[in-house]
Amino acid sequence: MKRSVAVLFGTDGSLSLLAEVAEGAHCTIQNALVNVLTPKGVDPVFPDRGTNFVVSMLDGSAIDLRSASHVANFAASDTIFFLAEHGAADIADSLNQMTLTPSDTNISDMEASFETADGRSFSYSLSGSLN
Amino acid sequence: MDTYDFLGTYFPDSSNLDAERIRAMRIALGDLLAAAGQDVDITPNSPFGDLIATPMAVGMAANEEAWNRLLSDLNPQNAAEGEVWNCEFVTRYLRSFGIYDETIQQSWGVVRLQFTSGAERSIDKSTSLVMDSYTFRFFLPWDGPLQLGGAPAAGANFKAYVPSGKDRFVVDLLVVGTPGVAIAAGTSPQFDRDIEGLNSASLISPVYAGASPTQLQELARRVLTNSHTRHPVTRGGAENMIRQRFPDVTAVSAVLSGDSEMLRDSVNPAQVAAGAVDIHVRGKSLLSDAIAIYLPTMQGPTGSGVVCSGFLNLPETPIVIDSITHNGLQVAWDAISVSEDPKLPGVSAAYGKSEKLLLRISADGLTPVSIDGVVKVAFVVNYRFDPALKACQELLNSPDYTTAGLSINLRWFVPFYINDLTVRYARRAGVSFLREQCRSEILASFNGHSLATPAFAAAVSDSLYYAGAHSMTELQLDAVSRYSIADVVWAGSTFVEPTGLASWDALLAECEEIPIHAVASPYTPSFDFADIEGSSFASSGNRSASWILDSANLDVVEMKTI
Repeated sequence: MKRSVAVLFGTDGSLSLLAEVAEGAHCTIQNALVNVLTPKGVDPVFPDRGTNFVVSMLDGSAIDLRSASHVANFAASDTIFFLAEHGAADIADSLNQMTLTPSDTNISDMEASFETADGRSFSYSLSGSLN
Repeated sequence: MDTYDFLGTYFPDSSNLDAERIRAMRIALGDLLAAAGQDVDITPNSPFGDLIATPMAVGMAANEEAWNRLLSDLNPQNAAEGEVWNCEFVTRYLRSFGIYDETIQQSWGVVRLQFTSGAERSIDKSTSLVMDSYTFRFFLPWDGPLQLGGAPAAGANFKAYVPSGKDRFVVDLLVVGTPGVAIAAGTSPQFDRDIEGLNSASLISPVYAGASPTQLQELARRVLTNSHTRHPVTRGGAENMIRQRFPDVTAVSAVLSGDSEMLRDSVNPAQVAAGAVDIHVRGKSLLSDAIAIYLPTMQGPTGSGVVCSGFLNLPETPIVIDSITHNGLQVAWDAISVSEDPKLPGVSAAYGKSEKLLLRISADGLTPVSIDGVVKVAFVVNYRFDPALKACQELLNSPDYTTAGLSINLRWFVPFYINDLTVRYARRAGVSFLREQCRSEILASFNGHSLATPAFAAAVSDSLYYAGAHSMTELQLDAVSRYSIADVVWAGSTFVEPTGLASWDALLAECEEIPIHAVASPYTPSFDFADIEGSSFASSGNRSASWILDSANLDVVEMKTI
């Protein structure tokens, strides 16, 4: 079972490390969220890492909830593919499915649900703002 | 301990590390940690992955590249091809193979000292000469000073004077200096001290540069070819020995016992072939020299039908005698080749230091003079010599190259003198033909390129092509061998120098005529010296023969325009 340091996703969009241990599927989930929030192309070592989620939200592409959902779905899909290629070696902890459901175009609230390869489900309510 | 700027010379810029390589390092790091039982998540997007694993992978990739570059420098093959990452390290590394550019590949040339008397002189070994602001020293491999004149002594730096006219005694000496220096012939050196009786000094050959100390590529190439042996026990070893010390030598060829070109094969009572090695050398070009000599007469000084005879004593080994003149007029002459060394019978001594040429000149109008009570006639010998032969002779005479149980005969190649080389070509209309360039390349190919090979027609064709010709239509070659400058070789048992005409005739009766092999070839793609019907007395082959082509004997003729 993989272990890592727990990541705190701040409501202001910041990421900070906690003095706590994250294990197993929680490592994979926080890696997935980091990937969603990482703009595509910033990592020269992994050119396909990241998504267009943050950029699309900030540049006004998400003009309504429907388009915001599209952006979120694409981000989730890109993340699943990336993790499948570079993610956890433990098959049980890998993600089969990831769903991001924004409640508004500013992503002040979003539901995130994850399903692992061995069938475990996790759901989180995320709130914050992207400025 | 040597120190090098490892980071500065071997580590790559981050721009030289591609993403694929870093990803491979990350995977390797992950495998390493997993094998060590570490379960830390270092995948992308994880804290340890982004903050530690990726930077560490960059460092690992840079390290791998640095080590690859260092290992590349350890392979002389890469340096020989021009790929060097740290010149300072590679230079020092190559020294471990014995390639010392400062002490081995020195520049060298031949200086002629002229004295007014042949008195015995001793010149200190530390004597230096300055030419063009570069310092040179005499090549004196034995202990002790340079000894001029007097009785020759083994194990000493002894040189004999060569008388050359009234009150004129010359001696040619090999000088060595800083690698990479080239100085024109004719330069007068300045000595760091007075030399008693010295009338003049001048460079009779150019100073050849040897290998430049900056030519790392050349040093690496020599490691690849020389590292196995540099001793005349084997064919390759003999050639490498010469080339390492004198890289300016353009052709070196070793003939061993058993080769068809070897003229002095023998076996001992145990039926083991005697260790005989003939080393043929050739430098960049033959240089011209003129020396005054005095030959004693064998008849009364009546000026009519005077016959002069004596050993030809020249400061350099002659390869070609262009003419012998008396008072500016050419005289006819003949010679007998005499070998001073019983291990070098027949013509095997020719073009080496053991061959002595006994001259006979018979002409009308010779004006004798009395020198020290002996009636002599003055002549000027115009000849051509190769300074590379002298340089190699000095090398083999030195104590470091003395061999045990091996008879080494250093000599020039058996020259095949081209009397006529006519090349005919066709040219496309409107295309210029660079005749002088073509002639220059053909002359260089025959005279300084290498020993004779069967593919000379290809070299001529290439020269024509690059000068603008469309094709070579005909190549006519007419050449003759010269196994010695003399026409006959003494083959008797006890040599007695003749004192009169009768004793000359008796000596001639003990001589054998040296055969002349003619080579005539129309345009054929190859000519092989093995085609010559040789004999155990005089034969040559690809290992021992070489062309001499004078500019006046080369004709490049346009046959047609197409």
